[in-house]
Amino acid sequence: MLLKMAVLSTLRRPRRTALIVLAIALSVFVMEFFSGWVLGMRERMDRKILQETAHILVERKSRLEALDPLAPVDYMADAAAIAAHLRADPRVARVEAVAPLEGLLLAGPKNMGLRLYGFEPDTVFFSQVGRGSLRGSFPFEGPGLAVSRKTLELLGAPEAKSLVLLVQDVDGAPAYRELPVRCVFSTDDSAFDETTAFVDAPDASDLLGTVGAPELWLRLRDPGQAGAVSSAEAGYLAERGCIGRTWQVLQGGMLAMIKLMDLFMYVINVIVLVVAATVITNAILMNVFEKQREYGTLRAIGMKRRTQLALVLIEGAAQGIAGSLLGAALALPVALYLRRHGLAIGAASHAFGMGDVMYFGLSAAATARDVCVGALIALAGSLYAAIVGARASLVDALRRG
Amino acid sequence: MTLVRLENIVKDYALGRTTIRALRNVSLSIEEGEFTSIVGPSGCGKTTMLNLIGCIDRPSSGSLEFEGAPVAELGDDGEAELRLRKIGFVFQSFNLVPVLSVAENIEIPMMLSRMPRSARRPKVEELLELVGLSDYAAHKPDELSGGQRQRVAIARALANEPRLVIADEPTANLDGATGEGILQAMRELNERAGVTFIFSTHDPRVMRFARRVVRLRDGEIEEGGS
Repeated sequence: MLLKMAVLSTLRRPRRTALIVLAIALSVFVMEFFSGWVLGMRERMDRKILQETAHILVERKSRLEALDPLAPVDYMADAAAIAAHLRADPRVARVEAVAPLEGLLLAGPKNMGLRLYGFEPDTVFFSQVGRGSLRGSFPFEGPGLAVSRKTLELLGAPEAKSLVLLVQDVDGAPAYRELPVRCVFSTDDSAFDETTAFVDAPDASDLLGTVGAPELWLRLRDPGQAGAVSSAEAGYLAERGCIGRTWQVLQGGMLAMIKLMDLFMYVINVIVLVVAATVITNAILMNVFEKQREYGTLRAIGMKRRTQLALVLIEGAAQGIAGSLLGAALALPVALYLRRHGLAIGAASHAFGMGDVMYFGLSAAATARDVCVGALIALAGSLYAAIVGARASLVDALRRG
Repeated sequence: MTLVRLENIVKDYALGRTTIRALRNVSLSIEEGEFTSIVGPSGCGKTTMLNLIGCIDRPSSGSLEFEGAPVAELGDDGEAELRLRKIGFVFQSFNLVPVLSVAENIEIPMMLSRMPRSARRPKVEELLELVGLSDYAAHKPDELSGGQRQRVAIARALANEPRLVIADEPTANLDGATGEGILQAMRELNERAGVTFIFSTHDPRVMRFARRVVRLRDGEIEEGGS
């Protein structure tokens, strides 16, 4: 009956109740929005780490320090032996030779400078290319190129079946070869599409005249082990003039951005919650003052102070739960839309480590947490009001109203 | 048997920098089964006295005993328990919970005393029958007349079978006929069930229902007024 009394009491002042519920709903909505944003960034980073790039990247130390990291120098001549050694570590799931290089793609009178990656035919990296494949497939076996639709458009050859790849070989001489276009792709990152293409590793090596590989990309069974594996192999690699960098170092910018966004989210959440708690406290305090005589009557007929406290808290909790669920219900379609279609915020999106649009994340745990926080804020707001109400002397409470 | 004993009760209220003395050395005994009226002009201390007897307020000095036990030794919870189990209240403005039905309003004290739900329902029906409101169980207080609301308040006051019912100006918000009907109902309960009633009034027509009249003036019981 106390529950019924508390819930029905909220309906006696519908506008005030609506204000409280909306304040909570709005705060939950804002929390959901920002947690979806950060979750989206995390998901993208996870995808990048788990599917697109190396958990550990091994290369020669001198190459790391070179002015032109794409120059065909400082290759690991004994890359195959190093790869075999690294594969022996049970924590390592895969080791691949990857050859980044600089080249010009020529289509008739037009040409375009690109960063190319020489890849192994069964590569497990660059999954965004395979996912965004529009024509052909990726990875592929044998000679060929994977280029973006954007690149073909810029070259004025959207339907090109083959392109000429021109590079500077290990001796500084030009080398070129006509290669079939085996895959045309379009990812969610136009900057990547406009600057990147892929060539099969043997062709890349043949054109450049290089031996070995400039980079070894490691995929681990558990990315969390990257630091431990890197430390364990540091001595072996150093003996060969090499160094291994973990994904935490390679994706440091994005990790820092996520930390910054986390902080930003907490600050925003705190501001929103403080504002909501103030509104809720005041509104519930007004309710309590208006109902002092009712509470006084109940205490006169034997209700204890703590039961009065519980009554106000139940009232606050009921409004908190209603507001939180409303907020979550309003946020859900927005989050679903932004998860599917993303939020285009132009170049700023790249600053957040995202593609052209920012895709939001969605998590039942985060939603449940936000709903709980909303309800707890209402509870905290009503606690103050409840204490103020219960502190009033019985005779004063009965005189009011 | 003495139900309530007041001994040299003084009650002061602070009003800004001044202190108002509402009761001055009041001593009074209420015996079990009495039907007592506290009368006097407005501001003479009637409500203060009822509040003290009902453990709603505490005296500034003097002693108050309920069934021979000093009330001052009870804590906040002890006083609430005493009011719940042994004292019923009827207020001038009825003070019913507007969101609850008539039956639920009567049920509140039973719920607070943790009476099982199965025992509460027949008790509510019995009380509704007693105050003649059996057909109004599901109504909300604002659907009732003043007299009917006061009957609900009486039923609520009797819910836990108290030893004492305190009614502060129970007829003040009612017309003459309805007020008399309420007092008649209280008197019948007193005679039939032996419930002790103390009520305050300043209406001479109401006083004639009382078997004992305590006259208050300026916070003191008048000579020969008890």
